[in-house]
Amino acid sequence: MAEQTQERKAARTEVDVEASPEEVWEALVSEERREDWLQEPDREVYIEVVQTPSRLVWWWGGEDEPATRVEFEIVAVPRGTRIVVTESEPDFPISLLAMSFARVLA
Amino acid sequence: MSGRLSSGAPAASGDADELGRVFAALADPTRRAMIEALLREGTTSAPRLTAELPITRQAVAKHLATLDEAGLVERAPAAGREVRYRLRDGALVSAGAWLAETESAWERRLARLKGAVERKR
Repeated sequence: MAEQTQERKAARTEVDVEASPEEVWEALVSEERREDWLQEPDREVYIEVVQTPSRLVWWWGGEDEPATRVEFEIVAVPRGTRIVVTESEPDFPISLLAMSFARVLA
Repeated sequence: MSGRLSSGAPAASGDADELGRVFAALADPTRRAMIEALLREGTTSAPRLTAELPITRQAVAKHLATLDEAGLVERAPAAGREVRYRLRDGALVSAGAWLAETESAWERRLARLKGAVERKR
């Protein structure tokens, strides 16, 4: 589901959940609940935009790694809630460089 | 600059010492600025980097040698006497790989999120 957004590249992923937008929102914004599903203890999350319960934007990155922007759109659908996540690559692609070696190491 | 070129692109090798050199090379902000200049300009040289960065020519030469030893840069063929450097092939992963990796990471995270939210009902 890769797509190009303006000049920047963005990775877009979505999932439908059988729950209300409010229930989804709670799992996104509660730091304690977020840790359970995010499982990225080495990345710091900095919240930029909070529009309860429909839009959340954060920046994150690990040590020696530039931040990327993560946007969540939460939309009510007939059987529950759709979550659309878009992560945008930083302008400077050094992260790609570092990542290519991380993959070799894995 | 008398930097000897190392052999083989780092991404093509799983050698742990070589990876250690790559990570060490990328850990320094000056060397990252040099990589950034190469991404921007294609090739560069020690005099050019010395003009762009707030460091001495000796320091530039040392950092270039470190990048060279890590397999990140190599000498570019040049017509004149000036030694020019470029990024080594394979040092950069394609944007497509970044997208694929990022999307698959989010698929795993969203599956866990879905499980967590639906379990709590």
